Amino acid sequence: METYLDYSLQDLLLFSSKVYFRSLILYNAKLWPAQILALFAGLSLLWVCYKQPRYASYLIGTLLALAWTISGTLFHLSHFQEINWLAIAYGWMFIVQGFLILIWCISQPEKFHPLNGGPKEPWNKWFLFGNLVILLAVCAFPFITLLDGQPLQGAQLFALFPAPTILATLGVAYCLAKLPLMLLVIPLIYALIDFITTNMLNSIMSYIYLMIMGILVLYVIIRIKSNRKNNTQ
Amino acid sequence: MSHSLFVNRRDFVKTLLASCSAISFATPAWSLTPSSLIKKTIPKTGEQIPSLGMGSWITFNVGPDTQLRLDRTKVLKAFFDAGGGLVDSSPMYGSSEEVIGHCLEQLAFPKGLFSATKVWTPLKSRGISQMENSMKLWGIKRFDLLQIHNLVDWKTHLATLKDMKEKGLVRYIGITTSHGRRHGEFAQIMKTQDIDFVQFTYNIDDREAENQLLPIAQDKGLAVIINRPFQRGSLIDRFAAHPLPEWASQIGCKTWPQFLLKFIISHPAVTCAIPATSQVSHMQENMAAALGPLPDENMRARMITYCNSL
Repeated sequence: METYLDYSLQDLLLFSSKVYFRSLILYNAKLWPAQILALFAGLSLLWVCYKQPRYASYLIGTLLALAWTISGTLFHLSHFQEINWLAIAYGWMFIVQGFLILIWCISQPEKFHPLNGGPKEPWNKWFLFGNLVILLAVCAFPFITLLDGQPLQGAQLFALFPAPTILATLGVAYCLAKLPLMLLVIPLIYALIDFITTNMLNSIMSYIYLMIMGILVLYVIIRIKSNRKNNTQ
Repeated sequence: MSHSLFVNRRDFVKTLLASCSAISFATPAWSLTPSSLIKKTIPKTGEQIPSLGMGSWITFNVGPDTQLRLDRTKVLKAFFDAGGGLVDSSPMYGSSEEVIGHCLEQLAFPKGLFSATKVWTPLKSRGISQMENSMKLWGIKRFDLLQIHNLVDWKTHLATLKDMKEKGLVRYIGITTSHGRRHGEFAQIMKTQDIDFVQFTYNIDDREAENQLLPIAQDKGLAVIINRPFQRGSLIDRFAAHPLPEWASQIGCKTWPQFLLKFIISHPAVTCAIPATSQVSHMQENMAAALGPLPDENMRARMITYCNSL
C-alpha cells in the first residue's frame, strides 16, 4: 500500500488536455443522438421540480438515479476508463450514488418532494435558486466547453456527463429542502477530484467545480441553520 | 561508457565541422543518421543501445482516438528513423501499451526496438497475468526488459522476473522509481539483488541520484535508464525565456532540450534517457542530442552553474 500512497496527484494525471477534450468529442459522437434524450430528461427534471406534479418525488428520484447510473456506466466505465483507469472507481461511485438515490426515494418519498409540499419561508427563495441551478445544468452547461476554446461537439450534457449531473442534483437539493445529506457525499468527493484534475489540465472546468463545491457547501450550511431554527422553535 | 566521447575545446572544432553537415545546415528538420547516434553499453552483457530512448507516460495514452494514434505512429517512426531503440511503458500509463502496440504494428515492428515495460500490481499471479497482457498489447513475444514499477511488491515480482529470465522469457530485468521516491530501499536492492537495469529520475535540476544511485549503478555494473529528463516539461518552460549559452554550440546543442539531454547522457553511469513527446519535430530535436560530442566533467560543471544562475 505504501508504494501506492507515495504518488503525487500529478503522477495520477495520465493524459494531456488535448487527449481529454478530444475524448469528450469522441464520446458525444459515439452516443449521438442520445443527447436529445438527455436534454429531454433534464428539462423534465426541471419541470417536475418546478410544477410539482403528482408522484413528483418518485419522478425526481428516478430521473436522478438514472442520470447518475448512466453517466457512471457510459461515461466512466465504458469510455473514460480507456485513458484513465481511475474512471473504473469513479464509475462505480456514480452507480452507487444512483442506487442510493433510488433506495432513499422509494423508502422516504417525502424527502424527495419539492419543498415538502410547497414553498415556505425561508426556502421559497432557495427553491427558485434550485430551479435556476437545474436550468443552468441542463441548458447552459453544454456551452461551457466554448470557454475552454473547444468545439460544441464536446458539450457536456446532464445524465451523460458527470459535472452537469452533479450540478442538477444540487439544484434538486435546493428545491427539496429535505434531501438526505448523505446523498451529497459522493458528489462532493467527485467534484473535489475533478476540480484537481481539471485544474491540472488548466481547464475552465476547474472554476465550475469550485462553483459546484461552493453551491454544495452553501446548501449544507443552510440546511444546518434551518434545522437549528426548527429545533429552537 | 566510452570516454572518447568527451571532448576538449581543441578537438571540438574538428568534431563540430564533422557533425555540422549532419545537424546544423541541412533541412529545417533535424537531420539524423542513425549510425552516428551515441550508444552506451549495457554493463552486464556488453550489448550497446542508443543513449536516447522514448518514454510514453501521458504522451501515448490516447485511447481509441484514430487521429491521435496516427500522430503517435509518426512520432514512433521518427524515433526509429533517427536510430532510436528503447521504448519504455507501463500498465500504469492508461492505454499507452495498447497504443504502442498499434503503432509498432503499423511500422511492421522496427528491427531496432528494445522493448521495455513494467509490472505494477501486487501479488504474483496478478503480476504474471499483467506481464502476459502487456505482451499481447505490444504484440511481441518477449520483452527485452521487464521492470518492477516503483517497487510495487518487489520481492514477489523479482522472484518471478528472475525465473522468467532463466527460462529466456525476458532478456533483462530491473526496478524503477521516479522523483526521488524511496531511494534508500532502491539503493539497497541495487546492492543486494541480481538485476540488470535500474530506472530513476535525474536531470540538471534534480541531481540527487549523483549522491547514491548513480555511483552504486557504476559499482555494481547496472544499466541506468533516466526518466523525466525535463522534469515533466517544467525545465523547458523554466529555461525557455533564457538564451542558451554561446558555449553550448561546443557540445552541439542548439536548443534547451538538447542541452538538458546531453547533460544527462554524458554522465558515465547513464545508459539511456527516455524523454517523452507527442510531436515529431520534438522527437527529431531530442534525438539530435545523441549526436556529436558529449560534455566532459568541466563542461558538465559549467552547465550546472549556468542553469543555477537562471
